[in-house]
Amino acid sequence: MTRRLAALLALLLVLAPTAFLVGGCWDLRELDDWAFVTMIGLDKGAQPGWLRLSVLVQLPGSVSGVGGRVTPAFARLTSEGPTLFDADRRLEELTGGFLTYSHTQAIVIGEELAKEGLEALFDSFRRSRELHHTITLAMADGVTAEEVLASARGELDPFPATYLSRLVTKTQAEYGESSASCIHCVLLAEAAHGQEIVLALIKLAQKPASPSPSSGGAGSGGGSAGGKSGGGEAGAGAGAPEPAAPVERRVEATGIALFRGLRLAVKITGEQALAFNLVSGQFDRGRVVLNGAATGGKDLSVALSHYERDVKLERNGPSIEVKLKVRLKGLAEGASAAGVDLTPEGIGAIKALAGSKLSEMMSGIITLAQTQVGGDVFDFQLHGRGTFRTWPEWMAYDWDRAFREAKVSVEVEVMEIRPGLTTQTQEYGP
Amino acid sequence: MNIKQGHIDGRQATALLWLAASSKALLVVPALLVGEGFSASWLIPLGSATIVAAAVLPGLALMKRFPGRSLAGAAEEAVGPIAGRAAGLVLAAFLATDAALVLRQFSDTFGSVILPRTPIPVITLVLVLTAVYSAYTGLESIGRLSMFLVPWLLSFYALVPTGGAPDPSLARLLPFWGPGPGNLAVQALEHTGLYSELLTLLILIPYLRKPAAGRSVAFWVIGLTAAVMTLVQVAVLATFDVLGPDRLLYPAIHLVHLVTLGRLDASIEPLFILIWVLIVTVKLSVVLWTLSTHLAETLRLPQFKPLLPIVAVIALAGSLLPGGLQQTNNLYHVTVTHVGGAAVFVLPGLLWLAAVLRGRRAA
Amino acid sequence: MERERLPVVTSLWKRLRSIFTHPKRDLDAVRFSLGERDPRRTSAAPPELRKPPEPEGAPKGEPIPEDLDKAVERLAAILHYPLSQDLVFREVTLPTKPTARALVIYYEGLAESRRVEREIIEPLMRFPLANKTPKARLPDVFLESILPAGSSRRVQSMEQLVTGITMGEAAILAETGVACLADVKEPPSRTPEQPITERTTRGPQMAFVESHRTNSAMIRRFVHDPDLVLEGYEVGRRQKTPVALLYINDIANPKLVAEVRQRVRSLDVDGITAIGILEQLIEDHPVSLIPTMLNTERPDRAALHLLQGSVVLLSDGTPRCLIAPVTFSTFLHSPEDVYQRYPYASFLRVVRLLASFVALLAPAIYIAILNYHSEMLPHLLLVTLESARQTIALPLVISVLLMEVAFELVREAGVRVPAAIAPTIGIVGALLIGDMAVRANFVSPATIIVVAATGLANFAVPDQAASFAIRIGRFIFIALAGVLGFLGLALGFYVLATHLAGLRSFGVPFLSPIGPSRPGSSDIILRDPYWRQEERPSFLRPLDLFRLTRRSRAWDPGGQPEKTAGDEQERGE
Repeated sequence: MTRRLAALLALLLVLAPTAFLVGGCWDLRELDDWAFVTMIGLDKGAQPGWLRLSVLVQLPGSVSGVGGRVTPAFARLTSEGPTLFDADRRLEELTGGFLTYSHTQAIVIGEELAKEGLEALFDSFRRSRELHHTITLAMADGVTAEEVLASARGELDPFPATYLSRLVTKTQAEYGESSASCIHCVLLAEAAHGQEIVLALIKLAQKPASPSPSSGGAGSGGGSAGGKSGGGEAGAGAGAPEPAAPVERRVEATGIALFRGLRLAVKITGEQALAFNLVSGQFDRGRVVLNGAATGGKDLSVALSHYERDVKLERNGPSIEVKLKVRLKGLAEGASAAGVDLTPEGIGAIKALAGSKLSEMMSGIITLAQTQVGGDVFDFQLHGRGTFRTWPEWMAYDWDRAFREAKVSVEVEVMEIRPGLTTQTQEYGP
Repeated sequence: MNIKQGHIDGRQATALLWLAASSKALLVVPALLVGEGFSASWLIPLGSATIVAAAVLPGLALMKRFPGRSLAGAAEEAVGPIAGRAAGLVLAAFLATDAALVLRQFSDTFGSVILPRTPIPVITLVLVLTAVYSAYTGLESIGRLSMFLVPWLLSFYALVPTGGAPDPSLARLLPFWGPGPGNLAVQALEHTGLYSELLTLLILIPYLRKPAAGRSVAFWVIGLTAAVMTLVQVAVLATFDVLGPDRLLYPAIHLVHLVTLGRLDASIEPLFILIWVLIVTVKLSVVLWTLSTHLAETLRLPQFKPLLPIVAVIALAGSLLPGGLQQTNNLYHVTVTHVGGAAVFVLPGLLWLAAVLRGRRAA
Repeated sequence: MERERLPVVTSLWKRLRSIFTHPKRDLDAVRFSLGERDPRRTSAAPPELRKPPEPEGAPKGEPIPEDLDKAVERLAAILHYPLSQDLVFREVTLPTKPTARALVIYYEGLAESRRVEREIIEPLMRFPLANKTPKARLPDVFLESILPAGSSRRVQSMEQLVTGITMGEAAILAETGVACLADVKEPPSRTPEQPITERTTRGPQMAFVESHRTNSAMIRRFVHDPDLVLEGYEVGRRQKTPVALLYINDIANPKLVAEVRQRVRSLDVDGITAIGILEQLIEDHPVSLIPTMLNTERPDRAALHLLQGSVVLLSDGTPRCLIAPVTFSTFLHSPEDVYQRYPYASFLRVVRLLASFVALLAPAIYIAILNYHSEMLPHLLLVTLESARQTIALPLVISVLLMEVAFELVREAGVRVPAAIAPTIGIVGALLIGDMAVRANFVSPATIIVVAATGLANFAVPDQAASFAIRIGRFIFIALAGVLGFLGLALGFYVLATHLAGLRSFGVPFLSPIGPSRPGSSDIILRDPYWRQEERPSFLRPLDLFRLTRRSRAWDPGGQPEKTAGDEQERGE
């Protein structure tokens, strides 16, 4: 018995390492087997109904040595297919490696595709095991997503995807002129009854002349990367137009795209975007320029903060009435230098001016949403559904119509305006 | 001084059953609930809990009437050997279904979400082997182990809702009545199977150090399980809204997928996998232990251990029966969460009634 | 054909039936507890073994022949006299009336020759009153007036005589059937030195030595308690190694003491050379990776455990002792913890707990994340790791295993090499192998970091046996993570936890006081302040539960330490 046991153990000892080395490990992948996609661009394909998928792949080996500086290189690859899945498979064929989207940090959707509709994408988003649902989703403004992929690079941040997603979040948080969105948010909006999708806009602007030597290659930091990327395009391009040289362009993240039924409806920027955030409750900080009698006819820049919003929604049969109350504090920058009246009365006048200007802006954006968009982009439905007793009643209700015909009253209370000492330039972005 | 062997105390039993019961919240149950209760689906576990708190009493009374007897023994005492064994076998069939379906659900999800290229039978097999080992070491070990796991589970439940999925809102729990008060009450009644672990409690009452503690254990288990299920349901609804979870098969893992550890920029998935595997394995070991013990008692075999491999093979085979994940979930819904209530609560109740009517008592 | 097959079938059927009809044991894997004992384990041991040994009474075995020549002949035969060169037979003529012959027999070296000469032979030869003593009274006179050695005694049987001689005593045989043993042993020994494996900065700097008497004396130095009992046993048919069982009579649970006693007395072996062998013979789970007895070299630690209600075993020849029962937290504790103020001790224990997790799991988690779940890595870390891996040809699992094995080699070599060059080997091994492995692109720097951190963490585990368990367990976890990633890790962890939950050390569940949970003063990972640790560990079920009164800080009227007499004095000055 003991001898048999010993023989069995010996057999196990021989078999276990063999099994360990030969079999099993179906999911084992070494890190260098993967090709990590950091950013995805989605455009309309050349053939009708096709999608054009561009990816920015992090090239391994681009971080130099021990304690060395991080100088990453990227390859940009493109392919087309009738669905996202097909396009992805073509990319896989092309690279021969295992493309993985687990570290993708941003997805950009081209404007043409957005106008046509996003239906094709949602299924892939929902099913994808790898895509993290918190990654930034944005829309390219006036250009293709592929061009954005080629140009997105910060002066200080070596990783385009992190740069892009930080740019969007920062523009929303600091200037209130963008709307950071993620896959999860978009899926949620698509699924919710009566809610519409909102995306941040990514713009390509002329870059001021810069002595930076690194802005040479097409989306790459080195010769080899450029070569690879070129090869990829040649293989998969299938007659796709070569994107315009993105040499002197840089990305900006101002503006918001409002969708209606998964199709792009309206693009808004500047004060409209700010007003949108004030209405939808996504505001954090931002700036508005006042000009009126209280400011002595000069432009006075007021930094807004301490935002609070209160929504009261009443429903009478098929129609709804929304009472929106917003409270803010402000910091008047350069007020003393501009010679503005800083006595309590003067400040009071400025408060009133700010209040009326903001409520005018907000009413404007609400009207725009009701007329041009025609759907609830402000997420009022979250307040509306509480007025229903049961779920079927809520689902049967025509929220779109109710929103379009809603009476919305806006009240803005500027609680405090302090004369600021700091002066900020109107320019923003890096 | 006089520790009874192979016995666990009330606290261990509570921890054990709570862990096993809360494994449901990590599997398909939240999605099933949302599909039926919509925005009010978080009320269903609460409603069921109140019903169950009353429904478990006849079963407990049955066990109290025949102190020292196992459930199978009590059944035989109550309605005679043939009917009693038949009742015992029905309950065993329920447990076997539960084991098989939980096994399939877990390995299918794990196989599709975390190890996509690993063959699913491999995952099933290693899981069953672990559970069999654990069941083999006995109730005492599982009980102690669960005491050890409870703090982990608590910290995990604390981490997920506070971890910050983007844009959660409690307004998504409205409209309050979901499918309407009447429908909600019916669903609460239907979903008493959520607390099917109380059947396990009835079976392990003879193994409690103080069998009289059975009632308090039952109420603790009901309360804690209801709390966890409600919490998970609220978190799922607040994050995914009503239409979302219907499309997400396993809300818990999608919820975790959204949570990242702030500055670390790392997802908490590894922790989740650990907790998930641990809890599901506890659940499986408990079911296997209960099933083999109950079967041994019903068939009047002196030991349960030789039955373990048999029971494990039955569970394995059963887990391969459903054609796909959707079918598994439907089956689970029909057998465990719906009929489960009848099997777990009505049958012991009937046995108790029979014992009372026939005037049977422990000799 | 049929007939031949039939017995096989019946025997199979019998076997199958016997599985089910085996007499009903407890439904769980039954182990005895302090209350009830496991029938399987104790069935071989007769109940009298559980009682303390009675004082030596009537001798048994072969009597010593009356005739001196016959007795000597027999003794020489037993001890293989002319063959065994170190045996000394010294004949003395006693100045009695008439003169009598006597023989002194001892092993040279084991008994100290000088003491034999001075304390036995000289008194025998020069005994002035001897000629007045009748021959018949010789035995009594021997013990009363001649032999000065403290533990001299008369013996009745050959067996006792032989045992005494082999233990280093000197035997005195004289005519008229006198047989005495005089303790003149001087076995090789050394003075107590500093602990080697359990070094601490605070607390006593003393370790056990080879002599179990010196060791028990060291323990008594810490516990001046008349209730400290030392029971002595001889273990082994041939070797007869003295083993001492120590416990405090009114603290240690009698059932625990009886259990240990029974296990020690029931041993049927040739003998035990070191206490490590005794440990393997009496522990509950001899095949488990996890130790269920504490093996320490510190007398103060033994004393602390005695005072908690544990039992200590000493064996002659080993500078260590065994402590039982233990729980998992014992292996995270260091004797130093008690001497530190409680926040420091608690902090150190948390560090040690962390260290044991790192030592056990770090390489496995590293492999699981990099090979299976790379999506969990932060982006920048991923980029760095990926770049570092580019030029490395070996798979990650293999490179980790390679480095782990290299580490074990350095460690083992460090033990074997001569002390003078040991530090060099350590440094050379660590630096050269690590650096060269990275330079040669065998492993990535990150792997080196993980392996080094693991090794370091392993040294932070205070107990040697526990650190062995962790070292071996680490390889198992590496294999699990290499095959199934986090699933393997989680299942491995589950099996480990179940195994731990099922372990018992002399009846005490290994995970006490967490699972099963027991009330009592907190001394598991975090430690209460000493003055609040009123209770001894309740899972040991001590007879006397409280070690402090509730008002142990009696001088402190309301938690205001400044109102002491000393302070008053200082203020007065």
